[in-house]
Order: sequence, then structure tokens, then C-alpha cells
Amino acid sequence: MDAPVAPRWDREPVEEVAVSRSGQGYWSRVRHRFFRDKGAVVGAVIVLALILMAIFAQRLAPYDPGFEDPNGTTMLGAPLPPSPGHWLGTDANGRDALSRVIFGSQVSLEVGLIGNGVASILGLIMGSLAGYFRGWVDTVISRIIGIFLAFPVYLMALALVAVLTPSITTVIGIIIFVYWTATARIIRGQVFALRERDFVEAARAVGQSELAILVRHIFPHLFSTLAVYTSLGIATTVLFEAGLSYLGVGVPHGTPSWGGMISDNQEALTTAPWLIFSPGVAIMLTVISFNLLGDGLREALDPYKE
Amino acid sequence: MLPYLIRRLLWTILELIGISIITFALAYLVPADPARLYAGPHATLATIANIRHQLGLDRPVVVQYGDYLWRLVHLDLGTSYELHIPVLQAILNRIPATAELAAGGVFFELLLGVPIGILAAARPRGIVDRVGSTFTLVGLSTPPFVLSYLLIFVVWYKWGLFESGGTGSPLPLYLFLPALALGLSGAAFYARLLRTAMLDVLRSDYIRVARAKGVPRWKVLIRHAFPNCTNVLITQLGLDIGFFLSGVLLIEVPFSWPGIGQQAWQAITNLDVPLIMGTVLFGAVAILGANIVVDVLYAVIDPRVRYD
Repeated sequence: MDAPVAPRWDREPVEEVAVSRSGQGYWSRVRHRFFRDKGAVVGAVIVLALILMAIFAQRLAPYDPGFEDPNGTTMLGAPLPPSPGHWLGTDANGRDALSRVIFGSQVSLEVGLIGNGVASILGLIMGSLAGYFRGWVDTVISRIIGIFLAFPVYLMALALVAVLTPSITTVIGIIIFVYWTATARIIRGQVFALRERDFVEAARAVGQSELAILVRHIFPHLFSTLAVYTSLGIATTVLFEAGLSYLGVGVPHGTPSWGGMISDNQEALTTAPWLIFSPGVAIMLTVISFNLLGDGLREALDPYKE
Repeated sequence: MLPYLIRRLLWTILELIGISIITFALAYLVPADPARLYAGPHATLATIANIRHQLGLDRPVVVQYGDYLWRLVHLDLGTSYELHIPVLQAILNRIPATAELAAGGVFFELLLGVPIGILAAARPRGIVDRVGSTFTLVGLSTPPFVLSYLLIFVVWYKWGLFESGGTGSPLPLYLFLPALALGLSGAAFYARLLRTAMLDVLRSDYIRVARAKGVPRWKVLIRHAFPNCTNVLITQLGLDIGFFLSGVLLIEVPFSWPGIGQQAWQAITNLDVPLIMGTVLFGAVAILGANIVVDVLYAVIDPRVRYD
């Protein structure tokens, strides 16, 4: 029997599907769905632009981010407002804000991509072990996840920085420490369901080892989940790194970072607000585009979408 | 219910032990010389030697941990060498301010998030839904401290309304902006959560029956659908209250709000490790406690939930 049809007023309008695309492969349908989603495309374009900006920062930035222009402040030593010479103005040390924003993308993306990448891999391993083997393995891993989830993240970062030396590696370590649990929980749930499917049974019947089943048969099914949550996770990580640098426990002082810029210039909020809001907008734009990309991937990769 | 609660408490104790192992490792095993760390940056060599002896760092690790756990059980979190008072006392001194901010934040979260979530679910892809989802995306993507500075700049500096730093009397004047900043970030999340839950509930049979017998549309939403979504809200509220009580650093710092987060942050400058570690532990306990309360509230509020 067909599922009951929801009354008109509470049913989401069904997107028009132009033609039946039987005969097309999964990936071409994914591509089609992705490029039809304006938000996802905008997100992907901005993400690409940000990555290029970080790679070519040296060429794009009008000044060296640490260069203190002797003519970069007013007679009284106050920051200069935006002008043709300094598009986003200067800070109290006469440094060009635009150049610092451009170079700040390097830290954000480096930390976001590496930290989140490692956290995702760790989450994949722990989550799939827990979901596949269940029993005591699951109990132990789930409890460890429970413990990690109970830590207040920013306080934990303060504690880690108090006992370690601040560096980009420390920040990446903190991110891995804090974020592997998110992926692990989601992957665990997926593997839990996947291991009951017929193809796993079939693989076991032909005598494949447990490890081979996990790696060769189950992992490929986790690809889309991993892609979605890595993209969304990078958004979270960029926010987190900005927060750490704002608190002064992120990347070392002197390395241009968006959170650090805001922290350095907070006293100038009313006299030179551009120094706070230009890195602020940079953070928001980065986070929004990774979120859009992640949401778009989720919609596009869902095989039951049509 | 009771057996469940006991099992739940036992697991929580186990988690607390796990947490204490991690904080112990951080405080005593990770640093090259914990005694130097605990003695503070201005300590003499004699003081350091003295502290090393006091902390018993020459004993086996297991004995040290047992000792650490023993002190924790007696609520001894050590002494802050910055403030020269017990760490627990220092944290309790800051709790009122943190609790005020948490309450204010929850107030704005619900005030903004609930109506947006309900209206968005009432007409999916309608105008409220579209504006709401943009609000959600921007809200979730704005760092709390940037939002804080935006509010300070526009509301306090440009419009001359409310206070923007520290606390004082009358409280609402000082609390409004930090609570709004805290609530705005959360409201976006609540709106999205509630929208999804409402859309789910609106598909059920009893809603169709209500519609069929001619219940007005707004009443279906408020009276019939919304109450069945409250468990989603309660879960999130519980998590939030736990996190808020563990200190909202990114709001407390820009607003100089004297909560436990700001205190721990200030302790970094002087590497007041006992105070920072104590706050971490306190926060973890707050979060675990809130989780238990939420689980019990579930069963109290929603008759469909039964723990066996």
C-alpha cells in the first residue's frame, strides 16, 4: 500500500524533476543536483577563492603583513581609515589591515583543513570500530566519547595551552582532541546500520576477513557522510580557531590570524571599527561558505533524494 | 525509573573518573616540570623544590593519581596562587554572574528561536522560512565575539543604549547586551532544530484529524504540534545550560563579564594552572549534571518516555 499522502498545507512542495534520468550514473546525478543548488555553488566558489587567496597571499597582499609603515598612522599614532593606499586602513602599528586579512586566511585554512582532516580520520577509525564490532569495543569507545563530550571546549583549550607551548601544532592538536568525537558518533551510527545489510553478509559468506569487510565494503559507503561532515566540520573549526586566537591561546602572537587581529585591536573598536569588522567578515564569509558547501554536498550525495 | 537513574549515575561516576584521569595527566604528566608550573612564574628554586615535595612528584604515578582523586572527592581543587584562595571558592564567587548570563542567554534563545522555528515550519519555503534559514546560517556562522563587538558598537556606542562592560546595578542594563549576544547565536540553532521537529510532527495522523475537524490553523500549530516538540527543546536547553555554566568565554571576555570563564581566561596570563584545571573540572561536572537532569525531565514531561 502506498504511504498516506500528507495534506496539502503541511507538505513541502516537491521539486520538479525535469525528466526521468534513468540510465544516468549516480555521480552524474550528484553533479546535476549539486550545480542546481545555488547556495552550494556559491559556497564552493568562495571556498575555492579562499584557498587560492591563502596559496597566493604573498602575491595578492599589497604589503608584507608585518611591515610597519612609518606613514601608516596619523600624527598622533592612531590607525588610518580605509583609503586608496590602504583599502582596509591600518592598525596602530601602521600595518596594512588588508594584507593581514589576506595572510590570516592561511592560518584559518591550514588549521581547519589539517585539524579537521586528522580528526575525521580518527573519528572514522574509532566510530567504525565501535559500530562494527559492537559489544565491549563499542562500550569502551562510546564511554570515551562521552567523557570527551563532557569537556567544555574553550576551557579545555585554555588548560592545554597552559601546559603546552602555543604553536600552530598545539592548536591543531586541540582541534583534534575536541572534534574527533563528532565524526566518531555519526560514523558509529552509520556502520551500525550498514553491517546488517546483505552485502556484508555476502562478503562474510565468501570468507572475507572482518578487516577486509570493514575497509573494502563498508568504508566506501561512508564516503558521502565523511565529505559532508568534514566540510561542515571545517566551518566549525575555523570558528573555533578564530575564538582561540581571539582569546590569545591560538596561534603564536605575531602570526597574522583573524581572531588575533580582533583581539589586538579591540581597544580601537569605536575609533577604528574596520580593524574589528574586516577580519570578522572574513571569518563569517569563510564559515558560511563551508556550511553552504557542506549542506549542498549533503543534498547532492543523498542517493534517495529523487 | 529508579533502576535507570542508578545505572545512569554509576556511568556518570565512571565518566567523572575518566575526566579526572585526563585532567590529572594534563596537570602532572604533560608539563616538563609540574612543580615549576604550580609554583608560578616568579617562584624561587627553593620554592619549586618545596612544592615538588608537597605535590609528592617523586612518588609513583598511580600513587600520585590516587592522592589527586582523594583530594577531588573532598572537593579540594587546590589553591589558586594568583588569588590566594581555594580554587573551589574562587569558582563559586563567580557563579552568580555566570548564572545570570546563562539565564539571560536562554531567555533570548527561546524568545527568538521558538517563534521563528514555528513560523518557518508553518509554511515551509515561505517567506518566514527563507528569512529564518538565512538568519540561521548567518547566526551559526558568526563568531560570538564578533557579534558582541557589533552589538557594543551599534547599540551601545552609536545608539547610546545599555551598558557594555562589566556588571552593576540595575542588572538588566548591564546584562542585556551580553545575554542578547549569547542568545542570538543559540536562537539560530533553536529555530532550525524546532523547524525540523515541527515538520516531523505535522505529518502525524492526529494533526490531520485536528485539521479535519476544523481546528484553526494557528491552534493546530501551538496547541497540538508544538507541545510534542518540547522534548527537542529541553534536550538542547539542558546541554546549553551545562555549557553556559561552564563559562561562556567568547561572550564574557568581550563584555568583561565577571563569570567563571573570564576568570579562567585571566588566569592564563599568570599560568594559574590549579584555577584553570579546577574550572575545567567544574565545567565538566556542570555539563554531566545537566545531562542527567535532562534525561529525568524527559520522563517527567513526556508520558511516552519510559525508562526500564
